[in-house]
Amino acid sequence: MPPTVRSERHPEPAIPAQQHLMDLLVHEIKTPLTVIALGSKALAQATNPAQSAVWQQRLQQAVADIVDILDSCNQVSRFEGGTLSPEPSVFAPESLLSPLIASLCDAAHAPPERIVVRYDQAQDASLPWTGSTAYLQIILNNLLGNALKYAPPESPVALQIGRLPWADQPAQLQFAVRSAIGPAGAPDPALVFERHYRAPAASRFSGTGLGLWLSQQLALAMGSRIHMGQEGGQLVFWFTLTEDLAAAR
Amino acid sequence: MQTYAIVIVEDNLAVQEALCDHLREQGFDVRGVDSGAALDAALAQASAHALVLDLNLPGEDGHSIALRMRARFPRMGILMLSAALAGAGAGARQPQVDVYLRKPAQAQALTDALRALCEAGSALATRR
Repeated sequence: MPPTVRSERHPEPAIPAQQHLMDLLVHEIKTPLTVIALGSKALAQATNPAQSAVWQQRLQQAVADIVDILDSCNQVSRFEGGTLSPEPSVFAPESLLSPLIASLCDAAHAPPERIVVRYDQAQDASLPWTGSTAYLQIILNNLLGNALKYAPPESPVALQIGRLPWADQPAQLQFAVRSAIGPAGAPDPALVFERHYRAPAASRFSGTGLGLWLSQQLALAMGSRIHMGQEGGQLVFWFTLTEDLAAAR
Repeated sequence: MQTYAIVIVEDNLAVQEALCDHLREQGFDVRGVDSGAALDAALAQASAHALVLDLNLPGEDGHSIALRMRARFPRMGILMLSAALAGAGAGARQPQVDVYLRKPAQAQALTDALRALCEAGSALATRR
């Protein structure tokens, strides 16, 4: 990576984490707002349907980006304030994934079949699982959302889920998200879960650099850890959850 | 009416594409690039009447690019479009920048500022 060239500035004073989060939110949200400011005028003046359709899609994407930024900052703020509840419950993986995938693909203007879910065993989809719905949802939302955003357009994103039943121990669920490496390049494995880290060319897209950091914190809170690697030219994120039978009691 | 050539330096693709299309629709001849190095290559191909620069760019930042461009192309207008917060060190104004607009700039304000910069540069070139 080329060295960063910065013009001369005053040294930046240390600021509290909450203030930093608010600054980040305000700064990042202005990028999609710029598209909205330009698009709202362009749409009003557009004279042909093709031009209107392009601006409409840009406006929808800008709104989706703002929602992502707000959600991300809110989740981090609640996590750090101790109010992000794990919401433990008994659920079937399929019931969690179907609405999540529909929502992610809708926001990314992608067909739902772009995310291909594969279960190691067919019954893994519907077997009840006990654990944190909220934390798992945030983690999968980040991993799948990133894959949709950064993989080459229209390339498939694979989510593989396997259940390991143990005779005398709680069962385990294994998750792996695979996607092709897009124009933003592969993240640095040593930094990818650092707070505010973004891959060298990730600034091509809107984002806060908080999603993977938070996902890792939530995985750790559930006694797991997310790993990242490359396999056959694809980027792979994987983690294993152990069923928390006490959580939903 | 004269067609003015503009180069937009913005690393966020959505903003770059929206700026390019908006300014084309307003009658400018527009090219979009994502870094200072890409700007150098674009200006080696064809000159420009004005630049629209983002402040936070990967590699060389907007103020450093503005400083180099002012030295190389004294008559080229430089407009900085920045999301920097007032009071934050990174947003401090620099004399090599002609116009600062805060994101999200209104479309009309951007068009008017760029047209004024291009006309001022052209008038200066005519007088010399």
